[in-house]
Amino acid sequence: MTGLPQLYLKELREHRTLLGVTVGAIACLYGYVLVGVEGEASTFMLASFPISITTAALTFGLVSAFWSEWKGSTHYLLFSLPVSRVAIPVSKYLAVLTAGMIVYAMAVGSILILDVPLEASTNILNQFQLDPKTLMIFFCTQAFAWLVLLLGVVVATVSLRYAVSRGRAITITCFLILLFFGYWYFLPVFVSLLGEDIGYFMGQIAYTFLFGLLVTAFGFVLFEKRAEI
Amino acid sequence: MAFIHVKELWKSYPGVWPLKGVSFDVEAGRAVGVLGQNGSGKSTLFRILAGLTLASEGDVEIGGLSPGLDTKKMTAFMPELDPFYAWMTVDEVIGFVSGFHDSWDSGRASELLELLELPSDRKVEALSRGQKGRLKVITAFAWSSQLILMDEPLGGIDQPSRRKMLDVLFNQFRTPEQTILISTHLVDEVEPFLDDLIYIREGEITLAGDAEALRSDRGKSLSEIFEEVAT
Repeated sequence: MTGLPQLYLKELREHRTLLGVTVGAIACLYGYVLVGVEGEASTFMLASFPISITTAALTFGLVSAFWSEWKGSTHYLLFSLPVSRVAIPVSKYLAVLTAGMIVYAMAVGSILILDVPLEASTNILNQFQLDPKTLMIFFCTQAFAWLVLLLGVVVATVSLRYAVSRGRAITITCFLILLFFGYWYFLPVFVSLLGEDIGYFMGQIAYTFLFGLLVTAFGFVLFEKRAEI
Repeated sequence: MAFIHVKELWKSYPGVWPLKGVSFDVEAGRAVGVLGQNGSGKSTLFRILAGLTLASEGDVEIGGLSPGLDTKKMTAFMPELDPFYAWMTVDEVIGFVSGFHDSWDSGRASELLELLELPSDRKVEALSRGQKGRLKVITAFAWSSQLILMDEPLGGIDQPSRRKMLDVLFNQFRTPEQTILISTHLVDEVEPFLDDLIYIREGEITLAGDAEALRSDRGKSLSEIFEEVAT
C-alpha cells in the first residue's frame, strides 16, 4: 500500500503523547501491581484494571486521531495525496494497535517472564476453572480482543461518516445498534460451533477477535470505495 | 484529446445540488480561471477533479483517467482551507509531502522557500494566513505535476505578496505543459495569466471560452465581464 509507512510514522509522531503516556503509565502501574501489591483480591483487581484502561484510552485515541483531521481540515491534505484512500484509516488503526500490542505484551510478558506468584479468590477460580496465572493471561487477552473490536467499531463508524451524506446520524445509530445486537446474537452460536472443549470464555475471546476484524475490514472497504469530503 | 474532460457532471448533497450537469474540456498547458460567486460550485468541482469528492453523476477524466490514485499522482491540489498539521514545522510539512511524490525536487523546494520568504523552522500554527498560502504553493510547485488546482489561493494575502505569488505561480515555476485551474474573486489580478475562462453560476456553466476571444468579442476586460455576468 503506497504511502502507508509515511502515514503510519506521521500518526505515531502526532499522537506520541497519548500513546507514550498510555504505554508508560501502564508499564509503571504493572510494575507496581506485580511487585509491590500483596493480597489476592487487590492483585487481581489491579492487574486487570490497567489493560481495561488501555482499551478505553486507545479507543479514545483512535477517535481523537480521526476527529483531529476533521477539525483541522488536514483531511484535505490526506485525501489529495497519491495514496489509496484506505491507507488513511489503516495508518491510524495500526498506530493505535501498536500501542495496544505493546501494553498486551508487557502485561502477558510480566506475568510469564517475571513469574510473579498470583493468587485469586476462590469465587473467580471456580467460575473460570483456570489457575491464577492462566486466568490473568485470559483477562489480558480478553481486554485485547475488546480493543480489536472497539477499534473496528470506530473505523467502521468513521467510514460511514465519510461515506454517507444523507441521514448520517440515523445511519450511524442504526449501524451501531445492529452491530451490538449482532455481536450478542451470534456469540452463543459461534461458541457452540467451536464445541465444548474450548469452553465458553475462550470461545468468546475468539469470537470477539473475529467480529472485530470483520467490522474493521468492513470499515476499510467502505472507506476505500465511498469515503469523500 | 482534451486533458480534462468533464461531461454532464452532477453533484448532490442533502438539499442542494452544487453542480448541475457541468460540461467542459481543457487542453493541456492551459491556464483556466474558474470564476463564480460564493456557493456557485467551484470548490465542489475542484474537489471532484482532485479526487477528494465523488461525482453523483457524469463523466470526469484527467489525462484519460477517472479521478483516483493515478490522477492524484499528477495533480497538485491547493484547497481553500489550510490543510497542514499545526504541530509540524514548515520543513516537516515539506518533508512529509515530499515523501509521496517521486518527482519531488528538493532544490526547487528550497528555492521556493527562499523566494517566498518562509521561515522553515516555524511551526504551521505560528504562520500567518498568507504564509500558509505560500506553503501551499511550495507543496504544489516543488514537484512535476501535470495539473495544478488552486481554489482561492489569493484569499487573505496582501497585495504585494499576491503579486509575488502570481509571478511565482505563472511565470517562474510553471512549466509549459502544466495545466492550471484557478478560482478567485480577484479577477483583475489573475487576468493577464489566463488562457480560458469558465464562469459557474448556481452549479451551471453560464459562460466559457478563450479569454482573448471573450475580451475581443465583448470589448471588455475579464473582470468587467465577470461583474456583468455576476449581476
